Amino acid sequence: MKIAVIVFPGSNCDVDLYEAFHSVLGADVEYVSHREHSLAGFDAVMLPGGFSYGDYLRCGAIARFANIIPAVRQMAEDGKFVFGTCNGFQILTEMGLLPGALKQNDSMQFVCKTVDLTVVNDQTAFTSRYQKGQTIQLPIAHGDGSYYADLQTIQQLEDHHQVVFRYAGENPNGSLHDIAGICNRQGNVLGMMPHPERAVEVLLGGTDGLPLFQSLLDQQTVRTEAE
Amino acid sequence: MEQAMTPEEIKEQRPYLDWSLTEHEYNYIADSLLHRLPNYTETGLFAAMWSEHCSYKKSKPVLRLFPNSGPRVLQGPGEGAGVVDIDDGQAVVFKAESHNHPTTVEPYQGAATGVGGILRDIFSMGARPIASLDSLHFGEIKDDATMRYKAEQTVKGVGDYGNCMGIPTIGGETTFDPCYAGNILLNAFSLGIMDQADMKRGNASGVGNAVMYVGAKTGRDGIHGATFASKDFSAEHATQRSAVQVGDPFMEKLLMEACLEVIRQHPYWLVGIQDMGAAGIVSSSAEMASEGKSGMDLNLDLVPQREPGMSAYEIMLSESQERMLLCVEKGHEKDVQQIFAKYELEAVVIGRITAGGQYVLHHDGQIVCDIPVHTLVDDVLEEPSAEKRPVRLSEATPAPVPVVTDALATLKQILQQPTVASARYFTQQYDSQVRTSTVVGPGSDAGVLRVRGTEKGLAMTTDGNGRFVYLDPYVGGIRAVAEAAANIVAAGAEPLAITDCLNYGDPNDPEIFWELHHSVKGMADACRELETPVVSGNVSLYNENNGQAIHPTSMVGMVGLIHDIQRVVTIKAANAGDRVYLLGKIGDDFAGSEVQKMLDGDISGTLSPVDIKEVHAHLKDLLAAEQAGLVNSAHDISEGGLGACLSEVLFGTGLGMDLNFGKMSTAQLFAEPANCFVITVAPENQQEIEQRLGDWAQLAGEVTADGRLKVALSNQELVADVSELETLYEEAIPCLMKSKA
Repeated sequence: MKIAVIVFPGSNCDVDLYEAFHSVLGADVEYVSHREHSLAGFDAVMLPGGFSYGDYLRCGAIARFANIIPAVRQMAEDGKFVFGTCNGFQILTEMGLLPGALKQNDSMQFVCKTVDLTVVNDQTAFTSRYQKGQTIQLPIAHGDGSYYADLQTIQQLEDHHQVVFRYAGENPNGSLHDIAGICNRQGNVLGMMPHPERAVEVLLGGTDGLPLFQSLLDQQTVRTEAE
Repeated sequence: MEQAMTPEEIKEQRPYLDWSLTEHEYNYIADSLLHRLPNYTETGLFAAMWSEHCSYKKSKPVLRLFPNSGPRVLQGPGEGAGVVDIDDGQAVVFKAESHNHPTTVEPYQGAATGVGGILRDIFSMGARPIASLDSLHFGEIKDDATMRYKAEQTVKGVGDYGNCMGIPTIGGETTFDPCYAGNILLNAFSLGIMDQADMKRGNASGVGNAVMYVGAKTGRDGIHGATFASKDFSAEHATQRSAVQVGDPFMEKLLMEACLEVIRQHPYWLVGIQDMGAAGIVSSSAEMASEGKSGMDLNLDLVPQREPGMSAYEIMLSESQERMLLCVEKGHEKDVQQIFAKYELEAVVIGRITAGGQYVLHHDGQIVCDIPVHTLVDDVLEEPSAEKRPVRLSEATPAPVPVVTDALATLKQILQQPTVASARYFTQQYDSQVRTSTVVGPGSDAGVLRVRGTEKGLAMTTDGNGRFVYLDPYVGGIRAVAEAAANIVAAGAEPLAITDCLNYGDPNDPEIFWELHHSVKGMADACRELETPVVSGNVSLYNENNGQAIHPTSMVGMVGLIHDIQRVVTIKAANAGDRVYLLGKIGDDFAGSEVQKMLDGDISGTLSPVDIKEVHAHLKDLLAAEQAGLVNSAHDISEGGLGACLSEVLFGTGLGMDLNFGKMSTAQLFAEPANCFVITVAPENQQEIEQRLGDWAQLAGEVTADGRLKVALSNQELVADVSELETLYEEAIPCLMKSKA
């Protein structure tokens, strides 16, 4: 499994994702610049957190026009694995790979803390090492993390088990249905506001994010015809 | 059109007085340095470069008291930031800087650009910033909606900038006192890390080498920022808004990545690099030329400009943010431009290094400035200041003992004082974890990072207690450094060095200058004894509003090294059954305490002297015990005294304590002595810890599993439900911030 971490101008959790794979899990991972056009040879792509293009416009609204984006979309279509955390989740919704949008937190404040999450779906490529109903703790750090979609879309997400993580207990941002992370119907694209890459070492306060990356590394790589 | 006034008109009408240049200085420049009348642009450049903010002309004689060198110091004051050896060929680079005046006038942008400025100081040395702290001092937020707004916006400014840059804010302090109502203090601290081989300085040399401008375009924002910081506030300060800059953290992020790429991957292209901070292009270019003993020839028409029609004076003095000045080896200009282009940034050659030491500026086809570099940077007249011991100090008597009848009720009240209460409402607006190296985040004595790829850790803290310095500048100065050292040692780290922000009132007031002098003397004596030299810092004077000065607030930012990060010590109690020790003697240390302010409405009294030699010996013993793995938690006693300290040790743990302090009075539970800690120790280490710490350690009881804090005092027993205390402690600031009154 070869993993790409995309670096947009203003990405700042790129290092954290890279190090989670590289120094903690010893996986094969590389940075890929937003200027590139190809992700040939990669099996999974990570869209990191941060403030792409400063997020002066809607979060992720400019990043979706980056050179690398068509290649990310192609990976999703080919059934390869696409993961976005925080700003990466926002970019996935702006790209339309995931439905809905992330609004400003109800508090109108940036919030950084560790929250409880319920694993709602343990059948995705990213959650097979968790158990359905399990409560895990992951850090959040965002100003615009309130998930919103129209009621019909939310119903569809629920019906198709696309809600992967829900905030347990206090909802930190006002997201609908306490949604913290969702996947596409095929289950190969996951977007979430919490930061699993920040919870992979005991020294830093927890390892509940580790199973997410381990689940991904467990997956069979997908080969397309072109390869 | 270029020059708004002729040299003769300047001499006659003296516009420089508004720019904080005195008539004496003007005459000295004209008669003794230039031997002619300076023109309008030149006069403006002198006013900026000779401002206290850029030249330290008033504080320099006092700053010489500080020790600046030591075996680990690689770079002391005088550069962008101080550099300290942390072994293995690595170094930390750190500095704190005040942005008090801008934050008072426009809290959001003032705070944001304060953070931006200090980060540039760090990466201009070649280091990648990896952590920030901030020391914030506000007026009371109770019953003051304007101050609440200012606090909210200041915190948002700090957060938005650091969060976007992806640099964790891992600690700091927030205090509230009426003395800061008209003049908020924002002291931003940042720390970076680098391989020692990557170190760069603000140097411009080599005739023919290029002076390159990179980053944001120059606009009219922030003109006079440096002179603005060198004046008092008055009721007129609403009209000073144009002196506050506007920040763009995204631009700074790109600038940082591009500069670090040039510095680290192409060190031979780059002669020197410096941030354009206070007084913009003129200070960065003149200081770099002075450092390189060079002349410089700049064409201002080449400076990227945000708006047309800017005068030479405006271009040179603009404090537009996110700009850097590079001195690049001749022939590598295009190479540097290509690196910056990768980050969609422009890099422009605006001039060349010349022989002869002249500072020459061209604008619109004219030479608008032609003066020796040294006149701007090195010839500044130091201003001897009159000083006089403040009358209040001669009249001071020992503080009366506050009347505390009910220990529990007072503890509850103390925990809700904004200076003592949890600052989580503010600090959780900062990303404290990005870069995934934060071992201890906000809410502890010190923030702690691991150094990735090594076994080391770094502890850092910012501390400034204006009340102590106000009551006794010398002892207050010692205590500022001792408190910082206590925080570092509590985390299990060896104190390395400090940076400081000296926030004072108008130095032309002899009493205020005396405060500055004597508090610096106290700090210097403490630094010498604790072997923590001052490697960087800044001075912020004129912190007054309508003649009312702030408490003299000496903010100390200290950095410590943890040799084995697995041995980091936190403030939190770990296990039921652990022994609880009080380190140090608590007397009637009420002068300047939170309990005194709360019950008496004001602070008064004299501070007990501090034996800094003894403090040093104690800190060494504690650190050695921590390094030997004998200490499960350590927290120093500061605002709110032992009562607040014990509560904080227990919050979030579910544990309790059963303690007996024998003869301690109820009021003493809230006294604020220097050099006292609460530590917890596993029962099997009891004997060894008592042997190592001797008389300093007093066994007070043990950690319990029941979540109740029981404290026996001389005349009463306090029994508290820790979770109830914690709710009060956590809710106090959110409740105040959201109140409508």
